[in-house]
Amino acid sequence: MNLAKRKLGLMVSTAPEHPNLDTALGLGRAALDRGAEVYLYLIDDGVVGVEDARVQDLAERGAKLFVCAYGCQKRRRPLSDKATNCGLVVLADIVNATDRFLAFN
Amino acid sequence: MAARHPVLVLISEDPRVSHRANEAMRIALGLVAGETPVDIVLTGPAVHLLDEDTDDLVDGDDIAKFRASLKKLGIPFLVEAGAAPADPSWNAHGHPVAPITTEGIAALVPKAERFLVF
Repeated sequence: MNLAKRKLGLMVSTAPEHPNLDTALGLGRAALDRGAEVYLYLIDDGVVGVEDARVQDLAERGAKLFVCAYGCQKRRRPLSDKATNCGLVVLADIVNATDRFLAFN
Repeated sequence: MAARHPVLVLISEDPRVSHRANEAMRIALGLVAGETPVDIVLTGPAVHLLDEDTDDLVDGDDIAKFRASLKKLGIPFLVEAGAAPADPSWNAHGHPVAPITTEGIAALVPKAERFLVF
């Protein structure tokens, strides 16, 4: 199925070792392979995975990568230059502007 | 751009032991602030998000702050029927709440377009 011009939003709030991340990334890869735009938002414990090689691989394939700045600050983690550091306004935009939105909590 | 349907935020995490209940409420607040309609449902131990004393809750200061903001915005909590504690100090700040049955929660599902389940 060609998904050109379709948009998939993914939110991951669990730590990188949780199976949620692999599931979300697998969905993201499949969507990208079919021509969809993919938006991945890492939040809460998920922010720890922003520089994870698996996450960066999805970004290199074309996914737009966002990370919750509040979550990074709360965990005393430096802001990454490998993603867009942002807040819930951007998450709301992703929620509203994507054709499908899936949250992995 | 407003969502066509509400986002259903279903919280069942226990704020006495997990920060995730507060995080779910923070996300709900962020969506509301972005003018996205949200239904917030508290089930099981998540009802403790409305405990008067937040000292015993994980991220209690944030919980007090975020729930006050939701109250100011007039966003009610839909509370699972029978889950609210009998303690008269529960919801002492008078946050708007409405009881909801399991069937009521199920009825919200087809009305929503996005789901955040914590």
